[in-house]
Amino acid sequence: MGEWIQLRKEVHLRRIQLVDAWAEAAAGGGRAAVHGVGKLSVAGMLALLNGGDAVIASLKERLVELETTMREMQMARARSSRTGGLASSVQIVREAWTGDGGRADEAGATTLRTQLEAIVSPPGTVEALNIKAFISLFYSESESASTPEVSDAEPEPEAGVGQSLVDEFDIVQGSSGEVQAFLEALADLVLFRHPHIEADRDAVVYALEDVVFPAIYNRALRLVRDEAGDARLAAQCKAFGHVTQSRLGIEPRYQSVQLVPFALPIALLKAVYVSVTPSRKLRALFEAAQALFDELHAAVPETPVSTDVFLPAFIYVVIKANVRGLATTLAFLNRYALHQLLLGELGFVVSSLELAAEYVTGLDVDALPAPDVCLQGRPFLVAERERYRAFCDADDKFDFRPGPPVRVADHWLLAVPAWFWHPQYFAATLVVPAGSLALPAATSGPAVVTGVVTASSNLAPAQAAYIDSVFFSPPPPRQVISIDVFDYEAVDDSPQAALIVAGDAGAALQCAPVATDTVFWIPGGDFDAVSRTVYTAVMAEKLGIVDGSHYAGHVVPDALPGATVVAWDESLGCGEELAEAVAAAYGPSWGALWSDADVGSRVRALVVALQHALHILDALPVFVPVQEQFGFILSAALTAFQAKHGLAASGGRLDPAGYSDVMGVLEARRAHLARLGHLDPDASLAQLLRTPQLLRDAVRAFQRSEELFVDGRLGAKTMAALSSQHGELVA
Amino acid sequence: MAAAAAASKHVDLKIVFLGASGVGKTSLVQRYANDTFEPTQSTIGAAFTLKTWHGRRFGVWDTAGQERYKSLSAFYCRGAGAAILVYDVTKADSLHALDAYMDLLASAKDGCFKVLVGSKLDLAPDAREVTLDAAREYATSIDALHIEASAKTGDNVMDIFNHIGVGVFGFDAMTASANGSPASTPTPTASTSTVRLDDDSAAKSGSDKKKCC
Repeated sequence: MGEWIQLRKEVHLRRIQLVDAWAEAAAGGGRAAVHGVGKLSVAGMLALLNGGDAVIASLKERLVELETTMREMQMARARSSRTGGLASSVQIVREAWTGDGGRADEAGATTLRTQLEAIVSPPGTVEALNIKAFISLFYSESESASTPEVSDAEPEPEAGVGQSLVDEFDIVQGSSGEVQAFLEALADLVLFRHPHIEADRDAVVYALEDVVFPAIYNRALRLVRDEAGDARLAAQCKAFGHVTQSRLGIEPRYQSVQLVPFALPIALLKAVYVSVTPSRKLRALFEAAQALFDELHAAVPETPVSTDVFLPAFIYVVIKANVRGLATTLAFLNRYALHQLLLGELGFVVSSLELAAEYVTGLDVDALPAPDVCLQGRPFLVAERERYRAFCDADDKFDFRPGPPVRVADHWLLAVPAWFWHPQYFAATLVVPAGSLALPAATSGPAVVTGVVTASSNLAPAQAAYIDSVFFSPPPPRQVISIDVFDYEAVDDSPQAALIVAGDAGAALQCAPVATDTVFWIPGGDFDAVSRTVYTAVMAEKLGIVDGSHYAGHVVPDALPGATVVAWDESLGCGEELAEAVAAAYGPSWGALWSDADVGSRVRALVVALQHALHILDALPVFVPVQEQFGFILSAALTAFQAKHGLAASGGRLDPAGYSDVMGVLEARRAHLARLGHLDPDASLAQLLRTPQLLRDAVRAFQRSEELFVDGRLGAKTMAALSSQHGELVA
Repeated sequence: MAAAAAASKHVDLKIVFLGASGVGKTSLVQRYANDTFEPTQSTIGAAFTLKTWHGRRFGVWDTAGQERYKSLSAFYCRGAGAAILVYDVTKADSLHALDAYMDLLASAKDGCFKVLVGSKLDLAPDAREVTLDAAREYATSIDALHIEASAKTGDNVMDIFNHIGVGVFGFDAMTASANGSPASTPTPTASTSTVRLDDDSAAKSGSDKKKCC
């Protein structure tokens, strides 16, 4: 038991260390993103796979090792509980009963037996049956055995109980609290027989729970299982995983400013599921609540944490933890936990969990504090400082200087895709003021950025429509789209933001009290113009068609001391001037991309085509989705592909030559497949990339015909077989 | 382990605070818990307070007053032996906002002992919006005792709990207190509208422990 606990502690510690390490890596270089506690995002995994921080890798390795050991021990324990668990329980209690002299008090035993059997009335319940089996075994052992030892080699008592249950009883609902009442009686017995034991009664009950509950846990759980409730809660937690602290009503001053907000309570809450006794589940739940209280209290130490403060934060933790089988766990606690305990502190957190579960189950995005009133003011453009760091280190065109983080109270963030900015963790966000731009006058220190909304998979349709209606009327071209989904968790609620202000000076001025040295003001620009310009400028830089002279920053006039204008140059509108610059660099067809308003969607179409092509050419990892974003993954894949096929390197950038080269490789394979009869010869590559399933199906058909592994990807073997077949055909 | 030990405390009477957001529930809890208006830190903040009253253990539950949780607060009321319904004497609408909480008490214990508490008594001289008569009438309508109190000055805060203790456990519980330091007799002060225990309604409440919510 001690070893098991030690191992669990070590695993928990490693997880925390790992999360810390990821967080540190993310803060330091923006390379790893933490996606909830205990889970690494795909980006984080890639960072590790690509030779990321050795410390993280070693921690990860050790964690996997520990978790494997823990699983093995868990299985051994499960096997043990099936075979000898009940016998062991009997032995422990019987040892207590017979005492040091090994002799039972017969009169006392008879009385106790009567009392215990009375406790399990009415019969026919799972608990009663188990308890009766327990009593029966206990008495038969103590009456017949000359030695108190109970051999684990005996017939499986637990299986027998289970069989009896099936044979003799229907599964019926018994009154709750029976097991706990029984355990309390046993505890009294133990303490009566061993007055020298200096443990309080509750401690003995917990100890007895530890030996009795493993034997009945699975059936007990089955009896209370609420699969529909579990599924509903899990779906809701997943659906609302993106909801921010603000939208759940957590006051800005209490909001967590950690990279993973409330990471410790979330981790502790997850432990509720793995505990198998009511008391352990209660304690895990209580510790999670207590950690949350501690965190909230630390945020505002001068005020006691009330339920008004605790509850929204707890709901946030419940959503983020997405505890497996939460509805079942609650039913289990209500049925098996000692009811007297549920009137106290433990009961408070159980009730809070029930309330949270009910709230989450009925959560409707429309019921959350609506951003409607927030979106009518002047918009801001906000970017996360930490995500800019790598970019800024390499390029000083943008002036993101070190300093305290900017957190703007009562503002709503909208996310802009990473690929707008830089192919390496470069998310930017748009923030609009909440009704009024006025920040709390009494704000001391940074306030908190509130709310994150993305506009693709993470965004509810109503939100997307709202964003379109408010910002983009007429909707296209859409300037606000999803951030890289991989980075999403790390963006959520992150306070690490530099502020770029679009709008009039008044708007900027009112933000100035927050942290003037990190406010970047773009005077005179409305949202559309500013976002388009910044987007255009960054894309232009990314494509290598503009240089630093376009970004000449200058200090904003006295109105905003210390602030700096960034990414602003009148010549960088997305109109003719830029189109001319692009055309001059890459030719008229590329220049045309920039000449109309629909810049974003047309560039995205190219990115999507490239992603499909690289997938079919087996040059992108299978798990990387086609997501319209030219991020670092696609950049790395493109570079690797160019090197592998001897193509000219484009420095990880998407330029016309690089694009054509990739398409050239694929076009050759398309032609081969068409000649072999797997594709319609009249279908062009461009058409096929719009319906890539046809191309993949053709590859699959070819693979089946050649008895190759069928995955629809032109890997090395498929490519070689295709070349060979095509060569024969030509010959 | 300390947490587990603290968490294992049994409770003889669960008392739940109900009322709209901002009426001062948490301040009253804090004042009762610490007999001070200064903030202190307890195990789980001000949300739950355990305090002994003449050998009986009171578990005092603070609840959330926000509108969005109102209908869900029944979870907090489950098994409550007493409920303290709080309104703000300076806000008229906070009294009738309590109507919504009455249904929640269906999940409390049978005979749940109710006390209607007008908070922020210290502000009453200048800003009172809820008259004593109106509050008393409301208290009668919900079968509750009525008292006004101030968490800031501490006026009548202890009396709220003395009333509850006597109402639930009877006078004997006080007089039989083993420590020989009984709490102040729960009689009203002249400056408040405290219902006297020797009033008909109070006497009934105090003696009839099975009174239904």
